[in-house]
Amino acid sequence: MTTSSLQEQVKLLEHSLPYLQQLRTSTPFANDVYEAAVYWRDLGRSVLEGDDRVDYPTRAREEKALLETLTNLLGSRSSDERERYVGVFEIAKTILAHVEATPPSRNGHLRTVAIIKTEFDFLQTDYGFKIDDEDPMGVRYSSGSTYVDLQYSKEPYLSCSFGLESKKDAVFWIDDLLFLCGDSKYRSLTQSLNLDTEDEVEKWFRFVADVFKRCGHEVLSNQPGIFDRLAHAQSKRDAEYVAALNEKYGN
Amino acid sequence: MPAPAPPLMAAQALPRNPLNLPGPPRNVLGLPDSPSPSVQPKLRADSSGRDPVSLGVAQGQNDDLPVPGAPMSPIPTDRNPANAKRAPVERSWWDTVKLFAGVAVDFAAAHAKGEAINAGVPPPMLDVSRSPELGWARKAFLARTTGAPFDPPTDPADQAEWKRGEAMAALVILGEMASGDVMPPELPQAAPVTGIVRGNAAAVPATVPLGPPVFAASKKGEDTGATKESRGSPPPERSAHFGHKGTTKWRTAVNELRQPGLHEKIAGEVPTREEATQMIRESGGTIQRGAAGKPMEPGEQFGHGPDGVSEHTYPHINYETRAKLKATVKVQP
Repeated sequence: MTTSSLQEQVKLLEHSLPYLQQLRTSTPFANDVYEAAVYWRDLGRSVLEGDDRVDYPTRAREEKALLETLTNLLGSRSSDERERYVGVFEIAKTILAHVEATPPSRNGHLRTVAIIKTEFDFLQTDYGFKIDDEDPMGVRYSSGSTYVDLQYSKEPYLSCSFGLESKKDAVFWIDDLLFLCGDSKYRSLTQSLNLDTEDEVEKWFRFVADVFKRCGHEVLSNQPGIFDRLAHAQSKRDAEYVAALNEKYGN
Repeated sequence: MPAPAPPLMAAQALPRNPLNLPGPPRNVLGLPDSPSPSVQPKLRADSSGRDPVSLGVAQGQNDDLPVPGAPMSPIPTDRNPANAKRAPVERSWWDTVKLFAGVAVDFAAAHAKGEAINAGVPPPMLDVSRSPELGWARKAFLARTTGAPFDPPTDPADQAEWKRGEAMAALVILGEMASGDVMPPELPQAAPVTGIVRGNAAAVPATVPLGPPVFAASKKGEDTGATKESRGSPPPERSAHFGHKGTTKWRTAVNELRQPGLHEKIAGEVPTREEATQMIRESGGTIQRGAAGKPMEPGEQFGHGPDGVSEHTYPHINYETRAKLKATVKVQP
């Protein structure tokens, strides 16, 4: 399917949305169809706009499963309803086929994936980590016992989290590592980042990689007791943060 | 009213299918022939007649995206030449002073930034534009005095506040100019991003973890901790279930919301709709349905009925993660 025909299908779906919206309160099924149609429209639009954040094949498979469920349910509905929705489902099928065939951005959003792979190559060469998961917004590395999750995010803590695979509820962040290592820069990692250009993304992940190279050897090689010490450091850092807030604003 | 849809091959044999109709959708349930007034503005093409798909304008259900037609910028939209012939308004001496000060600050800020770049100091990476707790007056003040990237508001009521902040900034700047002090102050910086730290930035406690530049630089290039403005800021968000924004529990919850799928609890708690809305936005997600403060369907507000495909039979929010994957979080009734 060409881009222009996808555009045509998205427009068709767009034009049917007011009608579907009118119907949505009539039955739960009608509501489901309307909500699904909004997702299908948005997904088609993302392809047309070249949104590089989306893992299109994964997303399309998710929606195709929903479409199949709705199609099966439609089989047991009245003939009126079948007539009403079959055209919508045909359009959705065509859009989703196109979306599924759209490869996700190889380098990721703002080259995030390519940058991470370059800056964190040492995880694989020096510590035996492997890429566990990858999408246009980031890469997750795992050594089997330890993971490092690196994602595009303007919140420093969301862009780098790590911990033990066996203890998923204990998540650590880059400022915990800085605190443990006695580097007072952890105090200023409470601000959001500007990551609007590839250069800014590169600078940020280079900084994070440098912190791991400088302070993360014990974590990356999962030395005995290191995560206990890290948990202690996190709780101290947290207490310091809360105390500062309380001092400033009151309890 | 939506434009007529082209005939659909697949639907040619289905006379009651709305997609096959040359005009507006046929009403099969006795509903009004045209979309309700509350729906209509959302679905029309823009005034130029361009198609909303080609414009990339988000419509419909997405709670976090702008509604077409809503004011997006302070740029005047009235291009009627007749309206351009209004009598010119004479500028007062005070406006002239403020304008002069503003231009001087802009020029000096650009010069200082250029000097910093030439000296090998990367430009600041703080994103203060998303500081929710700052009022418009403070934003205007910071924009004028520190070069913080705040945009003026579009709401007339907010614009008055913005002007008040600009006036305060102009006063401060004039005072500095009169006393012969160097101006303007340097742009704020986030030391850890590049590892380059000027002054004692790294040693200053994070007493203001959110909002305005924590380490706003003084005229001498030293970081002086919380700025005068930020010291008057309201406290950061604190939720009943997750404590202060930025604490470990808060972070854990936001980090969980970053993942797609269903979240019946985050960090061991069922959040309120307000908490979840704020956290989803912080995680970089986009709320589709059920955001706090927005109109919502009964399905999101109270839970879907048993006849639909949705298993979310409780109050919830539907959103897309930063990577555009679908997710749902259960919220308190």
